[in-house]
Amino acid sequence: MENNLSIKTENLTKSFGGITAVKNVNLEIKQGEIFAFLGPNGAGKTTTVKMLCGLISPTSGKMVICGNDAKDSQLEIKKIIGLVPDHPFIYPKLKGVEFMQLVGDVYKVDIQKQRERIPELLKMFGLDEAAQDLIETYSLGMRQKLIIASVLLHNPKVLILDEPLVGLDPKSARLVKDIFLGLSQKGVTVFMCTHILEIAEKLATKIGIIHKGELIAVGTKEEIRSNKTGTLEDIYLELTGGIEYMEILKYL
Amino acid sequence: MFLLQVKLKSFLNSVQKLTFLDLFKLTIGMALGAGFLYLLYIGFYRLFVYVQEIQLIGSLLLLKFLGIAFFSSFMMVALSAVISSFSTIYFSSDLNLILTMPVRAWKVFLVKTFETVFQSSWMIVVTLIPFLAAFAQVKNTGLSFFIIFGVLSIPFFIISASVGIIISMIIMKMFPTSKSRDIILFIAIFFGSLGYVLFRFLEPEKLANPDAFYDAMGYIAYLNAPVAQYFPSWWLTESLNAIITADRQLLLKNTLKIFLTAGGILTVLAFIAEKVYYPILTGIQLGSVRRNKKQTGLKLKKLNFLNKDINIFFRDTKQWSQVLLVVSLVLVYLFSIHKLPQSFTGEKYPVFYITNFLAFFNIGAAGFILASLALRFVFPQISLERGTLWFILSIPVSVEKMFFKKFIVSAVPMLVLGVIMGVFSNILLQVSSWTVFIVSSLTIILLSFGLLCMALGLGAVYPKFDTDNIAEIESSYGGVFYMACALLYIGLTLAIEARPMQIFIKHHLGGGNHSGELLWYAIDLLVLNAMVIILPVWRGIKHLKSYELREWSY
Repeated sequence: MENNLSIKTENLTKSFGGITAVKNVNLEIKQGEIFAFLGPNGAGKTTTVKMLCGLISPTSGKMVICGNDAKDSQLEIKKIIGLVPDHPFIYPKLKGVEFMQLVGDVYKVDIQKQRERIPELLKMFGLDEAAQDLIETYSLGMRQKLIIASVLLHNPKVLILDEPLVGLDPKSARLVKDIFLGLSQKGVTVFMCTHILEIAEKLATKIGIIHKGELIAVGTKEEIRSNKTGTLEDIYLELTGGIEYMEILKYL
Repeated sequence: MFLLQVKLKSFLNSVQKLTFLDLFKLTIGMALGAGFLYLLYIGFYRLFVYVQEIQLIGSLLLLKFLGIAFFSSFMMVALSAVISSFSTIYFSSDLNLILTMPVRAWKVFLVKTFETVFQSSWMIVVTLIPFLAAFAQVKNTGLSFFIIFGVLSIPFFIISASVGIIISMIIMKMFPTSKSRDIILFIAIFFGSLGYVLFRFLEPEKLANPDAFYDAMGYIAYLNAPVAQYFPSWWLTESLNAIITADRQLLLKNTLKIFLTAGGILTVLAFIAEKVYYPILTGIQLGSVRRNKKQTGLKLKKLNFLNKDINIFFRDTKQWSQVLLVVSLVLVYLFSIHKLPQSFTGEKYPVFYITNFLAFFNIGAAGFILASLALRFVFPQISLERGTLWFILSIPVSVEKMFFKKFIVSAVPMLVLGVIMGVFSNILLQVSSWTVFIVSSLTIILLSFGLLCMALGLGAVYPKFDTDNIAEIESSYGGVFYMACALLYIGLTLAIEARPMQIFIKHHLGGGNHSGELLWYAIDLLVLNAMVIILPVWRGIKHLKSYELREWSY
């Protein structure tokens, strides 16, 4: 792996028809880093996530995940990443425990290990009592927790998360944040899209800000703050043009 | 009303967004649909010409047909409205927003009622067009027949759909849970299937046979009697008959009956809806009830993609209940096959010739049924993964492997049906030539395999991810294209096998040796099936591999 890099992108670009959703994004995220990917709605965060997970292919540019070039090792990459999408939909007619088993099967987790880990993970996320219920009876937050639990079952090297804390209650959100920190210490790389700047500020070791498809700032919190004053929120709004909201608010 | 405006705007926006390719697909789909309707028209026309020429009873029989057609349309729309009103009136996605708005309940309910009327009746109307066109042609009615039908059909279908809406309203008032929808769906399918089987077992073809009645006067009296006299379907029949007989008074009387009933039923619905609709909506319990007790001992067995699809199938009422329809369809098919040789009794050809000949045509008929079943059960498989595509495409399972597992899940029932329809129908036909028996049975089994691959492959090439309604997936461009390809495949199979079957029958009578010629037909069949099996699957896998997921869930 080049300089211990988990994720490396070079001029990553994605166009849909005449619209360029992501333009020449260059990222270098080291193993064990928690990377917070920030940006306004429609900035290109989710498109980047989908490219990293192989759900859409880039128009141009290069992606390397844990030493695997995405162009020819798509299946290898899928084995080592864990994806948590925004507002996930999962098979409503499966039971919670069955979804975990399905994940265990596709990631080839040993059945004995499944028998140990699945009850542990379900308990950890407070889903043990609902494990035998159909997923269609779960709330949004429960589904989100089930997906996070299922991702942890196969010990991914890279976790890719799109708004992972949406719908979670404060206790679960705290648990998830602690899990990310713990995983990061064990060498798991966390790539996380979020709108919650406070989480980025508290958790992330590195931050990237994307605006209109272009990466306008990237680095550690200190690097982002250099030559700028105020909180991360102030800097974010300054970079993404959010300051004008103060003007808009006058109309209220 | 703003709700109608929203529907209209949404429709106009989607029309404006149509690309050239969309228009092309739409044109092809409509051309295929029009072709199918034209074939139906030809079939009805020939039947009506034949019936019209029957002395004394021809006209009576035709009117009886019209009455039966409207009566069954009335019942089908009412039944369909019971099912679709759950989706449109009680579980529509826009209701959460509407509930927060200052709109009167009866207004929302009426808009939703009109939506239900449209959804449950448009397909019936389309099917009625070739029937009525053939009727009008035979009776030489002129344009006024269609104008009157056009005007009266709206209140007529409002009445029939309203009957269904009232039933669903009573059910929702008594059991305000989303499970009601599943239960009703099952009951409707169960009784629909039972009715279909019983109707066939009653042998309705005897109706056209006066010998089946004890005396001629009794038969004529039966034909003269109205079909469900107090139903709006008879009022519609009489209105249209009044055009043929130029009886203005009868037309006016029945038109008034239909319009007044429709107006009355809508007023009653609006009145009741104002009182009960919002309370029902706010009291609905969504989904199944979660068991709140502590659950002990997780049963952890291996669960793979195969089990997943089977579990989901048997837990989804919308899916497993359709098995009843398949069973009834196969039963009716086998019953008809069983009765078929009897209808040729007394013909000039020897029985053995007829049964072997029927075995050949059975390939086409069984193929058509298998093609329809594959459209219903296999074609939507990829489209139904709409919400979980993010999962399917992000896990380390190759598309080929996933495809193979979907194939296995469908292959078992399709091949079982292929064997039943191939072997059993030949046994019931009492096919005397072993060669014809084996070749026709194997061809039907081969067809079931080919149709399975075609449906799965084309279902992946033309997925419809924006709906979970199987009927919409079936009637999408891809569904229509699959059906056209399937019919072509069945037609080509029959064309290739026509000559060999002729040889087999002749050989059974003591014909010569044709092994050289037969080899060529075998090669043709092999090439055709290789193409049907490989091409759609290859294209389907290729399409899924290059598929770009725009939304996390559709």
